[in-house]
Amino acid sequence: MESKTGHMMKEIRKTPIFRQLIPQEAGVGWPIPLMKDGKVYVKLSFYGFAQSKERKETILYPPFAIVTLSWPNQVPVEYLNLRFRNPWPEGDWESQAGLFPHAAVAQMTVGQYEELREQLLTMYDEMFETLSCGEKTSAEWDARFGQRLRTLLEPSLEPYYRALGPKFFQHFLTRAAVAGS
Amino acid sequence: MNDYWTDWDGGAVPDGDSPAHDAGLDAAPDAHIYDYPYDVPMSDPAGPHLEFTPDMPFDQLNDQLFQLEDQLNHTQFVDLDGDGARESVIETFDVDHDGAADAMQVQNDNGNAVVEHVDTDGDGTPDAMFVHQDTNGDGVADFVLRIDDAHPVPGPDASLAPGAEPHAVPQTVPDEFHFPDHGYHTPSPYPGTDDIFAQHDNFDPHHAGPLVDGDPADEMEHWHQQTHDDTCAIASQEFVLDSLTGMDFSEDALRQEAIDHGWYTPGGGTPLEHVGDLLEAHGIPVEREYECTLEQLADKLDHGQKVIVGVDSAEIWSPWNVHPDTPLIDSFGIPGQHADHAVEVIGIDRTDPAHPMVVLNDPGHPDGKGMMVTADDFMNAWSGSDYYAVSTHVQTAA
Repeated sequence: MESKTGHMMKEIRKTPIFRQLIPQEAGVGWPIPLMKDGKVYVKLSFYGFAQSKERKETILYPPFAIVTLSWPNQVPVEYLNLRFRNPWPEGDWESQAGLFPHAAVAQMTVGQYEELREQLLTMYDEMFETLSCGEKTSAEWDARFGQRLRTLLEPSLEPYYRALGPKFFQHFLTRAAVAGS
Repeated sequence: MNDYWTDWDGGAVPDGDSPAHDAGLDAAPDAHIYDYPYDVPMSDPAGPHLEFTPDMPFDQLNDQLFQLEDQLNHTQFVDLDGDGARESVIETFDVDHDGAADAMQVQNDNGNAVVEHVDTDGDGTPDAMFVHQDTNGDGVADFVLRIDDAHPVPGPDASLAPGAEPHAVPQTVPDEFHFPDHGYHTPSPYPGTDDIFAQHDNFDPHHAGPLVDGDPADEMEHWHQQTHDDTCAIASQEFVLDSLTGMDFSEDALRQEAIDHGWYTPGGGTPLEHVGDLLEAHGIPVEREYECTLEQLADKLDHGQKVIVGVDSAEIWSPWNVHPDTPLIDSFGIPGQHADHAVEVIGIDRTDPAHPMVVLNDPGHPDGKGMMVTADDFMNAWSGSDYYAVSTHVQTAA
């Protein structure tokens, strides 16, 4: 069964805001939770990626936009153009950032990657639901989530993710580092 | 050092190491085989296995250069005809199945071998090269030159009078070295470089008739491969503009125009509903619709309308690469990302009614000129955009 988060990341492509403002070639980044007035929102970033003309490597570009959605009903509440807002002035938001697949996933099959991705997105569901109840996930759960996120998150995009969700990525990527050490 | 010039376009023999040494058959040598075959460490995955570099012309027709961007690639697309598009392939083979490449083949844009470099004595080292030549200019190789220790390459021959018969004697490539027919092709030792694109048929411009919707032959004339990674929508609109106006629009100029208007994000691409904005800006009204059908596309094409659609490129470039067992390094794109790609639909071929083919001008594929995909694959790819189509209102003679 598809996770609610995965479904949201797919369905965002059918929204008017995506079709009018987000390039059709864009990828949907790893979600970033946002709490506001006791409610849970999900920030979805969009990044460019393209097939190199002669090779199979996929070229990654930094995120260029964010759409924030309400978790309960998945209605978009905000659109942010990152090249206009420039949240991390030291970063280069326009040049090629890196390649996919990265080393941590390069030896996987498509099926293995999709399975791990869906596991992570299902854990995102658990996180959003837990936050909606005003509760916190356990340290052990955080470690498992962090390890999956560390494996799947594209290293070349990590600085940009950290700029977009500093507390979230600091918390979980640090957990992953501790668990892996 | 071995440094050879050879002639692939009708001169029958290598002409010399400079135009001054040309035998007079075509005025200039057109292929340069440098330091090869004897000094190239083809089997070393840690280093270059092909030593061609930009200053070593390997150009069949007009003395332009080709470059190998990544000399570690197992399979390389190169531009043999100098038209700026890479249509040909250099491929290495592991004939003795020891895990290392020991043979190499260069194919022309018809998929025929033009150079084969093979290990004839079984010691794991290439020791002979067969150069296929087209002596009568009909596009088919009819002369094979063998180069090895027993058959040294004919050197510069300035003594030949213009039009004189060459000294070289035609050779025959032993059957065992026709690699593709013998299944020698092995997975690439270099990750991510094997079987780059699926092989597609391309529409035959001479094949027209009542069972073909649209005028693919005419539209194919406007195709070129996109020059930026994310300009598929811009290039597709350029094809349409060129076709309808008779002018030669520039992809770079259209890209800048789209940037200026906010229709295109460099490093991102074009939002689905901004596809067509460039056409409108140049006086061509368009219609945008979701949930379009193949029958509707056929009707538009039959009325001379031009059509651009959004598709999932992986589904048409390499449908099997989305299989779960495919190694990630051999697949297209990023699993779970259903990104779209813009292509122009230029025809639907119903010659085989049970297996209709959709004809595309795909700017993202090196062989995308009149590229034919099955209707089933096309519909799978098209579903990614909810069957979105942008069609012109301008009608030309159908």
